[in-house]
Amino acid sequence: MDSTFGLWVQGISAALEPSNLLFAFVGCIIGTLVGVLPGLGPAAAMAILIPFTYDLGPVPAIVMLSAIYFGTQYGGTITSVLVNVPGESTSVVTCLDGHPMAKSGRAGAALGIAAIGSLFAGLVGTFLLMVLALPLSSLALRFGPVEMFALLVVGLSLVMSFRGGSLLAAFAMTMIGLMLGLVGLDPVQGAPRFTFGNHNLFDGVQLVPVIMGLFGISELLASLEERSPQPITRKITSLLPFKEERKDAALAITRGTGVGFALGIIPGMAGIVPTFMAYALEKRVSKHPERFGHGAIEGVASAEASNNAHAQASMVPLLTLGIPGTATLAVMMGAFMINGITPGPFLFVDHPEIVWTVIGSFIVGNVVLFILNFPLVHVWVQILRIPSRYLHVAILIFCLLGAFTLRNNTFDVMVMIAFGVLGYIFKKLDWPTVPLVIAIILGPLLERALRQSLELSDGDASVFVTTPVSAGLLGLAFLVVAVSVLSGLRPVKRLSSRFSNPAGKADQKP
Amino acid sequence: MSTLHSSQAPAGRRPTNPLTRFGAKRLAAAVLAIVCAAFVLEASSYPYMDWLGPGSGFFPMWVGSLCLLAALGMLIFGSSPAGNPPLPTDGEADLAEDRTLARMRIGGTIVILVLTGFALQPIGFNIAAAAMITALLLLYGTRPVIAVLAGLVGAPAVFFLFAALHVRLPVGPLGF
Repeated sequence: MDSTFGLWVQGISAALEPSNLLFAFVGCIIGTLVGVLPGLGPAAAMAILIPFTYDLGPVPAIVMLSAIYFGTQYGGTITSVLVNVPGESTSVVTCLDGHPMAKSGRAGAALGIAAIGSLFAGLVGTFLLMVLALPLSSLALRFGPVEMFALLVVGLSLVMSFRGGSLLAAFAMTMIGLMLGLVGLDPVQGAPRFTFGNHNLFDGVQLVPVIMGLFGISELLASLEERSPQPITRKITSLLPFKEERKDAALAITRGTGVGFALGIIPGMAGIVPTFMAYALEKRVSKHPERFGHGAIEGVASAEASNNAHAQASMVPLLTLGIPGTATLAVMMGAFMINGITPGPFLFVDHPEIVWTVIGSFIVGNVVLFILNFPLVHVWVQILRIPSRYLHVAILIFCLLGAFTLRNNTFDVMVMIAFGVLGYIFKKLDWPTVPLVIAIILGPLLERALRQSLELSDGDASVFVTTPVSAGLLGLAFLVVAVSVLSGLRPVKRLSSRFSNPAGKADQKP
Repeated sequence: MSTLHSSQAPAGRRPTNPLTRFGAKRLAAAVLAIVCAAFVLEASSYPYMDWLGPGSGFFPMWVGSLCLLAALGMLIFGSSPAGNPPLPTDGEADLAEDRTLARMRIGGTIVILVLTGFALQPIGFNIAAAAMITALLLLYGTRPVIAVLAGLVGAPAVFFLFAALHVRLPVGPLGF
C-alpha cells in the first residue's frame, strides 16, 4: 500500500511540473472551446491535435489530450445552459434544467454548480481510478490469449449493446470496423492483406482520418442542414449559487458521482446513460420532483457530476485492460500507441512513471479547469456569438490539415473525406459509428488473440469454453447481447428518441 | 452532437430525412452485402490454415461472413425504421427550400474539400487554403468581399500558426 501511495504522490508531483502544467492548461482551454462549439466533438478535436503532439513526448501529449477530453465536458455544459443545444451528447440532460435556469436569469448559478459538481466528480473519480488501477491491471496480467480474446469480445458486445440504433446495425458496424482493422500487414505473419497494391494501406487504415471524418466532417455536414440556434444573451452575473441551492446540490453531486463512476467503468457505456440515470434518481429522491425540468439546480448538479465521473471511470478499462469504451478513448488509445505505449495491463509494469503521471494530471487538469472556467465564462459566451459559417470553415481547414500532416500525403485527406460522407450517411441511416471506430482499434488485437489461442490449443476451439475465465467472460458477452435483444434494453435509443423530438419538449422530462 | 429544441425557437430544425425511409435502409444493406461478399472473396485468396494454425485468411473470412449475414439480415428484415420524427407542417415550401439549400451546401462542401485536398501539394497550402476559405464562405452565404478577405488573411494566419508549432505545410512552386 505504501508503494502504491508513493506512486500516486510521484505521479501527482510529475504532473505538477511546469511543462505538464502548461500542457494541461492549454488542453483545458482547447477542450472547453471545442465543447462550447457545437459541431466538433472531443474525438475529432483530439484526432486533429494528435499531429501537434508528435514532438512533445508521451507524457505531455497524453496530458494535453486528457485535458482536452475533460475540458469538452465542461464546454458542452455552457452550450447546454445558454443555447439549449448540448455541445456534447453527454450534456443532453443538463439542458433540461440548465436552460430553464438560464431563461430565468440564473445561468451563472447553473454554470457555477456545474463547475463545482464537475470538480468534485473529477477528483473523486480520479481517486477511485487510482485505487482500482493496480488491482485490475494485476488481474488482467494473468490473462493469456484465450482470456484476452474473451475480454475483447465482452468489450465489443458492450459497445454494441449500449449504442443507439438497431442491434443488427450495431453488429454490422462492428464487423465493418473489424474488416477495416484487417487492412494492412497480417499481425502474425507480416503479409499484406486487402491493400490492393496501395502502399498507403500497408500500415492499415489510419485511425485519425477515420475519426476526423466520422466525428468531424460528418457532424459538420449534418449541421449544414440546421438553422443556427440563438444563445441567451442576458449578462451572466454571479456564478455562485445561493446557500440553499448549494445545500440542495451537495447530495445530488455525491449521488451523481457514484452513479457516473459505477456505470462509467463498464466498457462501452455511453456517457448519456449514467447522466440520465443520475438525473432520474435525483428526481425520484427529491421532495419536489415537479421542479425538475423547470430549473431545478439538483438536476444540473447530478447530471454534470455524473458526466464527469463517467469520463474518469471510462479511463479504468482503457488503462488497465486496453479497452476503449468510446470513440474519444479510441483516439486516446491511438495517441498512446503513436507514442510507443500500448494501454493495457502491461502499461503499469512497463511504463509506471508515464501512467501515474497521466493519472496525476487528471487531478491537476480538473483543478485547472475549475479555476479557468470561473473567470473565462464570459469569453466562452462571446465565442458562442460567432456566426457558425466561420466556425465551420475553421473546423474544415483544421480537419484537412490534421489529416494531411499525419503522413504528409493526400491519401489520408481523401480517407477523411470518404469517412465524412460515410459518417453522414450512417447518421441518416441511424447506424451507430462508435462500434466501428472501436472495432478498428480492437480488431488486430482480437485477431492476434484468437490465432494465438488456436495455435496453442492445436486448433481446438473448445479452449474458449473450457477455460473458466474465458467461459465466464464469453457467457457475460452472450448475456449482454441476449438481454439487449430479448428485453429491448435500448436505453440510448429510447433516450435519443425522446431528446430529439422537436415537437415534444414536454416529453423530454424523464 | 445531439440537439434539443426550444419550443419557442425553431433552432436546429432538420428537414425531413429521406434516408431514414425504410427503402433507403434496405438499399444501404444491399450495398453493404455486396461489399462484404467482395471482402469474403478477397479473404478466400489468403491461406485459411497454415502449418502454425489459423492463416491470414482465417479471421477475415469469419468477420466478412458475419458482416454479410448481418447485411442480409438487414436487407430481409430491415434494421429499425426509426429515424427523426416527422416535423410539424408549418411552411412546407420553406422546408423544401431549406432542404435544397442544405443539399447544395453539403455537396459543395465535399467538392471543395476534395479539390483542396488534391491541390495542397501541387500549388501549396496558402493558395489552396485561401481559395478553399473563400469558396466555402461564398457557399455559406457570406458577402464576396468578406469571403475574399477572410481567405487572404485566414490562410497565411493558419500557415504561420502551424509553422510556430513546428508543423511544416506544403509550399507551392512560387515558394509560399
